[in-house]
Amino acid sequence: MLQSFVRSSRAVRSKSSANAALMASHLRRVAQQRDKQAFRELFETFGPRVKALLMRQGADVTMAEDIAQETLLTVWRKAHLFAEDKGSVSTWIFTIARNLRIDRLRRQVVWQRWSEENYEGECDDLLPDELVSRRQESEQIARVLATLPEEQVAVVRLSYVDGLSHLEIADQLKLPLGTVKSRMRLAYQKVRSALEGLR
Amino acid sequence: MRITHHPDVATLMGYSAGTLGEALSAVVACHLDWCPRCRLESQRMRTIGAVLLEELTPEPILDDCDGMFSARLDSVINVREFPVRRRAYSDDAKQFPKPLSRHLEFDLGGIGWKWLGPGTKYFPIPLSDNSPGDLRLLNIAPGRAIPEHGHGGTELTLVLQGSFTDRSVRYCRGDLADADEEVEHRPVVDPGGPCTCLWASESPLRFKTLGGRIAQRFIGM
Repeated sequence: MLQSFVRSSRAVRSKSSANAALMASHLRRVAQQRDKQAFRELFETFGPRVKALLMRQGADVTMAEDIAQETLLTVWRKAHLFAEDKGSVSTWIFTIARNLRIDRLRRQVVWQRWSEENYEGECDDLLPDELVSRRQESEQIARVLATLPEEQVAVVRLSYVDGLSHLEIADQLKLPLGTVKSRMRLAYQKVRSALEGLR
Repeated sequence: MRITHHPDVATLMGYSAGTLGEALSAVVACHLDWCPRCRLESQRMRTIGAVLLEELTPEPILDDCDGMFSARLDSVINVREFPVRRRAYSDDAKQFPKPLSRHLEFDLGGIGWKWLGPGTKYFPIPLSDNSPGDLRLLNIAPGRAIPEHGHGGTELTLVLQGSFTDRSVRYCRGDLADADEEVEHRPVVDPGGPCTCLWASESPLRFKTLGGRIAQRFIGM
């Protein structure tokens, strides 16, 4: 199983960075001109992937489709709230999908939403080259993930893609919880040091 | 506010991936409200999720952009036309992280504290029906300790007012103490004033003292 995680991560190299600027410009057109063609590009890129993510996390086809559509509908509604300095379009869409999923699970207030949506304008003073480096983050992270030891990439995928808690990952891999957490930390440390290099 | 204690990287990863339980997520969300550094880390961690999202094999959407969905776009009201009405917060509520102020809908002064022990009060914050954890506000008098306990899982404590010391480490407003299942501790509130914390556990505590065990039986903590 571990091998398949690693293989899929290495085989499908992310074209994210090349796309990142394009997706940001689509989103800008949606925000400023309510441009449906630009929205279609976003929809076709992200809709099917959000649906795939939710199905990996145990949603049935109907719910996965439903949340994927709701995610993209939120993108349409809130396009003007997207702040490029806060990360890539894909990070924003991942966050929206994640919050909608938590909403369905808990049927109550999403505490997390407040920590991520209410800081528009906070980083307005980013320098232009910092903005560029934010755009490169996805590409850099994809590169780091492709070079992580497979045991680290496995826990990261089980967490983000399969939506398992640390404890569930420990159960599935038959590892102590502490080992799962330390692999998470090691993986992120490599991501962080690669990103610090961008600055 | 000078924050020196942050959530463990693994805790923040779970939060960012959306797999951390509701009680723990609530405390992390409140810390993030006050901590730009952790907001940046969390944004990077979410970008890991975004990269993995982009690498997934797409599942075709049945009702695509041409169909009903497109019609829905036209019926969507632009949220910009309806600015979110800001609630008027009392000065008291402004002292709290925004996720908590929004959730409580009342002031610190109006909290119906429940007695937990001498100098120790708590207020339970309801979670969704299927959330297994425990979320509460604690209010502890100077010099008082939370009864000694070990953990059946991660426990997070965010200082909202005052300060406490645990194993000779001082936690002040904004600091988050992240204790995993290995840790046994006995936080003691510093002199000078009571300490108010937002506290969460992913499982019930196991108190070690007789008094603690009795209290646990009656209070369900």
